[in-house]
Amino acid sequence: MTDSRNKVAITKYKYTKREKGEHKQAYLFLTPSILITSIFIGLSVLFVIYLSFHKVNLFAKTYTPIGLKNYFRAFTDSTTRVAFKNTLTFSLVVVPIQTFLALVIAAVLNSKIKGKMFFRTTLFLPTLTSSSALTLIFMFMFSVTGPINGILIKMGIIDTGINYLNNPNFSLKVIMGMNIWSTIPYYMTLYLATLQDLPASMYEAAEIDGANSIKKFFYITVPYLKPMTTYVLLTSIIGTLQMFDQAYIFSNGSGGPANSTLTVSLMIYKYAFGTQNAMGFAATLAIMLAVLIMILSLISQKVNKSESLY
Amino acid sequence: MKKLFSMVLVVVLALSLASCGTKETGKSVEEKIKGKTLTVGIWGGNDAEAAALNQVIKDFEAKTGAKIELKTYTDINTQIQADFIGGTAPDVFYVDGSMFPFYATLDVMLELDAKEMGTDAYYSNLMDAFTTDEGKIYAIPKDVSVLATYVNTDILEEVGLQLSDIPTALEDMVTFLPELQAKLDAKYGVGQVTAMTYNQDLARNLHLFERNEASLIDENEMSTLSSDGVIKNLDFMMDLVNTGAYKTPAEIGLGWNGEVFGTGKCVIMEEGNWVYGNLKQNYPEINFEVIDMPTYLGEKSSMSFTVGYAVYSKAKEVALAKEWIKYATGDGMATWVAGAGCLPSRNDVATEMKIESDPVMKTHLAQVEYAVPWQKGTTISIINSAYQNYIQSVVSGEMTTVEAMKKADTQANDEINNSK
Amino acid sequence: MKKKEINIGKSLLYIVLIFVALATLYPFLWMISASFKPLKEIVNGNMSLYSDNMSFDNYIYIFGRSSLFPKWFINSFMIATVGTVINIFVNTMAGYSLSRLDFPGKNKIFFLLMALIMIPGQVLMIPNYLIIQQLGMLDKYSALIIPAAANIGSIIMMRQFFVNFPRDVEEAASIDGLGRYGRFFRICMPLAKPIISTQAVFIFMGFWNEFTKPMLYMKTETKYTLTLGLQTFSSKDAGTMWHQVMAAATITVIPIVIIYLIFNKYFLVGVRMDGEK
Repeated sequence: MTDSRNKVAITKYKYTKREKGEHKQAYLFLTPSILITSIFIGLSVLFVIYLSFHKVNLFAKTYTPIGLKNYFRAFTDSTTRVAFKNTLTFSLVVVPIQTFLALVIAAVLNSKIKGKMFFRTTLFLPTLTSSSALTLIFMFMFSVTGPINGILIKMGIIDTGINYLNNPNFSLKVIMGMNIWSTIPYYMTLYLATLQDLPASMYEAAEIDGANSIKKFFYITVPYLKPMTTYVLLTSIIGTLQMFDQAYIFSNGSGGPANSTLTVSLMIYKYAFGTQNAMGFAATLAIMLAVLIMILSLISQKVNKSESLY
Repeated sequence: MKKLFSMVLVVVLALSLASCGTKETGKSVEEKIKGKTLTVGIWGGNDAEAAALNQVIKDFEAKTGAKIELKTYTDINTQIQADFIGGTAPDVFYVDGSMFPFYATLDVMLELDAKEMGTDAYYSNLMDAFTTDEGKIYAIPKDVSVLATYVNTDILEEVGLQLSDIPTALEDMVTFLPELQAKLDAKYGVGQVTAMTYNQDLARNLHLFERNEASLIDENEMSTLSSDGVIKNLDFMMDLVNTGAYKTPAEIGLGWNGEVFGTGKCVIMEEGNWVYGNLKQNYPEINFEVIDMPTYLGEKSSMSFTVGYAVYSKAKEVALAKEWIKYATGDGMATWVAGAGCLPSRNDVATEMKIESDPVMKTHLAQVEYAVPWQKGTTISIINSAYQNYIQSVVSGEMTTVEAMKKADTQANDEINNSK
Repeated sequence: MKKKEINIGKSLLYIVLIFVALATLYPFLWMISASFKPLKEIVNGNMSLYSDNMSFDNYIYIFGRSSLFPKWFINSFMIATVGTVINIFVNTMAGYSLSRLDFPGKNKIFFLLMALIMIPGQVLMIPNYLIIQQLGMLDKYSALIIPAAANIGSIIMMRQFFVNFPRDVEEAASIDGLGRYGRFFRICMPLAKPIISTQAVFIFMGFWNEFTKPMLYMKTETKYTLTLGLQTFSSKDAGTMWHQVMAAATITVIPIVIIYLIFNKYFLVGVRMDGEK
């Protein structure tokens, strides 16, 4: 809204030559990315929005307008509610842990410790390991006869092995752990790259004032990294709310046991590529998810108190 | 000027039509397909399957002078739907029996003539799997796989039992399995070796669940998992599960029956013939025998899984497509099934191949005529997913079969309704 | 006294770090070790990294399985390299404009870009397929490169990076007589090396591991990428051939490790030259 008011003011204002040059540069720099994204993503998104208001058979190319029926159904469907609840829980647990741990590890690896290079490289490796290998390893570790159960039994915490993967109380938690563990390196690397530009003088000044490591972390490192945290939170929110692969592999596509690993993306896939021509409903779920992502990322920006993204 | 242009156009059209006509008429099929290229959509298989298919292709190319190009699908469900929508599907493609009802609703397959394709030669229940309710034939079965019972004879001997001790009726398993389990626990330690493994996929249990007139779906293809008939059969399965000697591979910490059996962690499993080659190759030291599936309620039964060849409705080379299918499901079938480790979908090929000489394959094949082909309308994938979602709660004792299946029905039917 | 406390703290820190490093390193090593084991041992749930039955069999199998293997490798490498180079320029330019330059419509463009990545990919597969088909790009390498030539995530990342970028450096350059374009290409881009290297590694990995797009768009086997080609090995029925999957995964991962090691040294080079390095 303020934007449109500004526009009125802008049209009356005559740009200086310098400003015009800046505009030209900006538009020139943005042209390739705007062209590519609008053709290859923008058009598809518009199509998806269109689909959500229709009963669609893409094979026969029939589109019957049905207004808000898909949305109405999605809001009243109990399975959809479960999927959104799971997805939201997943995101609310994973995002803060992921971000915080990535920050801490980056700060530690940026401090004066020995073997920096070794730790950096090792901690980055999970990102490189293939996802099928990762999932398999996790499934082994958490299987009834796996090492996690082995350790717990030895410690006397449990008597018999727990079937984590088939137990609705645990399955989503296992996926959470796997997600956190495998994505931290990505964010840590980003933070580290950004930290390279933090002037050492800031730490030195703080040290003279008698600040310890923890104080330095909260008063220098964290504020300095805020803009990148904005990005990390955004990607993390999108990544977790759109989580698909791991839930798919773990539950063999069913979202079970008892819908405990049913995520919205998994549901979208099932509708879009199922045997019922339900592309319209899949599109509706996709848009609802996009709106949820938007809301969550707005909230996260408020929490992060960084300069506004929007 | 305009007139001249339209006249030229008419002449050109007439000429081209005439030339087309002279080209096509009077030519035999052999001449028509020579030098043409056919694309065939398949999904990937192991070495042996790939080699077998390549051999069939080579033979066909040598015989006809046509060329076959393969399009290997890695995730056929996603890819072929994109191909259908974009109109870019291959001329001929594999159709899984369970997916056939869905494809049949999409108008993507060309109707085939029973006489021309010689459909009488195929096992009639497999042919039915590729025929719609209106009697239209859209695909020809290229092979079939059938479930059978695998028994680890070494372990059996170790605990002092013989193959003949294994009951032939599933009902008797309820008492036999716990006895076997007790012996296994005494010999190997508790929880080391499981008496029998099973699979929670409806694809493996349909033949049991639909016994005695029960049905998983009603006339509108809505889910009826909680109907009395299904529940009765499911309750029987739970009797087996509750013995504690009948487990899923996941409960043992492994991926599928073949892995459990191959690593000697179970004595009995029910698997398809695909596991045979796998056991020989990856677990050569395991000694086993293969017997018929146990009877249930006094009747023999098993599941079969068939795959067919269909012609794309927008195929460019229809004549060649039909020739290929006739060859691959006819003269070429023996080469294919022998290499790929599956069973022929027609009796004459089975006889000619002397399947009888391999006791394992013989046992699998012997059940093909009464085995239930895995297929159930267009909604079965939704129902299957809902079933697998809730059966776990029954196994863990959190819900009764009726409670769980009611939930599964609600979920499946909501999903079906949402799609409407 | 204080010195001692610090030492205890430090050693604790190292213990934690080493533990974390082992926990992350282990699955990676296990993947490599499993690629040398027979299927039976992997399936047995053996978590150890060594076995007496290790051999190159799985690799021999994979390399012998298809004569197209080198071709797939080259395809993947070319697509990833070309795609990464284009991406670096496109994304960095866009991120720079969205943070450092002022122009009408800036916020709107940014908001639109953000909105585009919020729609989950599963539902975009078919529309994207139709677009690629309409543009006549099916079965062409361009279908894998051009639609991915801009990465919205990286654009936002670059924007967030340039927010903190020291302005005085740019101002000094402009006093030296460099124009706005020269400033960007000769000063900003070189100085943003750490983040650009990070971006490059991630983008390269994205291209390298991309599976869905080649699966849908590429029809000819000779044009497959490595990830797609390796998938054609898996059989439908007889369970997962973990030993072959692990060998394939190891083969796939090696080039990325090399790329990572090449770019790794840039990760630690900052813009500021006054800090200890």
